[in-house]
Amino acid sequence: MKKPFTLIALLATLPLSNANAADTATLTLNMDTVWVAIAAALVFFMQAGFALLESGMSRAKNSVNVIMKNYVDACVGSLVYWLVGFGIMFGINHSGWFGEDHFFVNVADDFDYTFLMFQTMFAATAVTIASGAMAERTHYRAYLLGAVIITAIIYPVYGSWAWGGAYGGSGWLADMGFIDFAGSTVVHSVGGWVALAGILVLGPRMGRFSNDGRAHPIPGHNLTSVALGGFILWLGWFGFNGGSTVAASANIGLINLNTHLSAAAGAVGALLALMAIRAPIYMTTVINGSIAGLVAITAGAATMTPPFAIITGLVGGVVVVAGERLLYLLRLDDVVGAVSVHGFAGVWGTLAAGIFKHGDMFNSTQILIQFIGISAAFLWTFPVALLMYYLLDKTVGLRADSISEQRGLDFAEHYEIGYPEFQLEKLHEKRG
Amino acid sequence: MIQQKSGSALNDVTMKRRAVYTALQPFFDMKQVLEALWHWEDNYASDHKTSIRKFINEICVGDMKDKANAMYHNLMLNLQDRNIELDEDPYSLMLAYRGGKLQFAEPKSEKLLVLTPPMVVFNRLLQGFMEQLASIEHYYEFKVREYVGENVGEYSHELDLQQVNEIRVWMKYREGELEYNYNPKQMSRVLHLLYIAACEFFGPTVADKCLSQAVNAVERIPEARQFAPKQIL
Repeated sequence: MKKPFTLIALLATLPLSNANAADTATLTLNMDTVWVAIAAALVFFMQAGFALLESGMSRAKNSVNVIMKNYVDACVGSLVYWLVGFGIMFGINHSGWFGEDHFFVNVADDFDYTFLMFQTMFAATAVTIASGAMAERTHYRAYLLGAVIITAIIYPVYGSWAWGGAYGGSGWLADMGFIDFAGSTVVHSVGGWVALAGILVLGPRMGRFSNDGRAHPIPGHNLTSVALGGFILWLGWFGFNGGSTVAASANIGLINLNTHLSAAAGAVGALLALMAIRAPIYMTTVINGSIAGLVAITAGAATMTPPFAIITGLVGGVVVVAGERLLYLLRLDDVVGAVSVHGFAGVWGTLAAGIFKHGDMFNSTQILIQFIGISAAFLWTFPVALLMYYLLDKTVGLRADSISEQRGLDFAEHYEIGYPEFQLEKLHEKRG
Repeated sequence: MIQQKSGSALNDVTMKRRAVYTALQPFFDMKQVLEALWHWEDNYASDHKTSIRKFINEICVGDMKDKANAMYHNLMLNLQDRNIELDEDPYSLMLAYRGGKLQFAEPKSEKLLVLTPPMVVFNRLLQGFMEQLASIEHYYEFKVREYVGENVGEYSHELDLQQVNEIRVWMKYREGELEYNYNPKQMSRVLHLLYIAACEFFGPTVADKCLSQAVNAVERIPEARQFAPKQIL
């Protein structure tokens, strides 16, 4: 494995020996572009991971609906983010609270397109997190309207505080020194809090919790696809974190090593937590543990050494088990565990980035800043998302009616079914 | 609904009237209930409960003879069990009826002499669904029937009073067939209420499985070729 890399390195340096500074800059730009474009593609591939994982954890009669939410929220989210979100998030930021230009980007520098492409994939990731939590009982149109508002306002406004000012100015959290390298809070906690608001407004699926206090488990229809989704997310995360350098830099190796180790530790953490509470070793929870490890390391992947990445992931896995238990006790129905995986593990990961920052560990000021950033994310995202879903519920209707839940949203919302060999072919009279 | 306050048996006329009113409602429409109540008030209110059988036999005529036993047991239970919740005293309602102040719509549905294929399918589907649930847990199957009986009144804008009462009785005893004529939308509503109850007491996974198995079984009967059960799901 060593020889090809040596050869590539030689080939790469040969032209440089005679090149002038301008050529070097062009080569650097090209390499940055190639890496970030590939990373963007990897992040886009995460959509497939989310789709498989979420549909696998849902019942067969809702699988098409879940896939359609993942597929189309990426489409709608991308268009809206290009139109409005990117400008709010990264446009020139005089106030520290939101960007003011770079809306509907038309003519820009070459690397701006690359950066926009990469960030669009991040927005698509943030918006898709809620879909799994709200699965099996949400009106499709209302969900998509929510996706528009998330990518136009909720996600980019907070993003501008932490990452804003790419074209001048700076976000107020960034000015404080808030560390969130690739978005444990900016992307994942924001998505998690939106999901929490969504499930609060929606209520649990019919029969999930009985009036007499009993809980009825609703297992997913395809755990194999859940596992495949987990693998795909893991792979995509190398682009998510590795690409967040926004350059073909030398520390990508460390970032992706930390990413991998944290994911592995997250799975082990969840496994150990399940064993500790004498629960069965649920595959879905272990996979969620690995994703929690990925979420947790996202904030500090570039600023931690591998042992601390492992600790971050390990605790992330435990956080998921505890978080799922908490939601269960609160009778909140999160179909895929998105609030625990993205919300709670995102909080932990952002704190860990402050606690385990290489060369400045356990700095109380940094930890306080991290705490402020985490709190700001919740205080902005949760109430706004709650209001948004409440208004959607009162206007277009967020919750699908109970007969649609009985028939399955595949048929009720899309007039298609995912598994015609096994499902009823004609559930009700064709519309129109 | 008011909990009985008296001891083990009812001896006050008002309480007895409430017991009769509560017992008859699942079997008759409101007009018939009020007619029967006046019959009881005029002839049996001061009698001992041994005359109850005679009263029941007098009001159960025609098709209702089949229901006489169930009605008698229902009424005896209401008179003896202090834990049963009785409806409010209907006396003011009775006075209003006798004074011509109450108007009742003519029944919309009529009983069928022979069950049509859709009604056969509907009956088999209900029976099959309940059998599936009962095979898992009798206690919760009973709770499902109780739930449907209590909540079917909420569909009174789509079902008429006879149908609501018929479903209440069927859910109470799970015997015989539903004999009124239900259109597919009404059938769908009743099945959906049953599904909601099954989700509540058995969970959605069991509810889906039992409904699916009931549908599979009904698809094999000849009537299903004329009326597919999926049309009412």
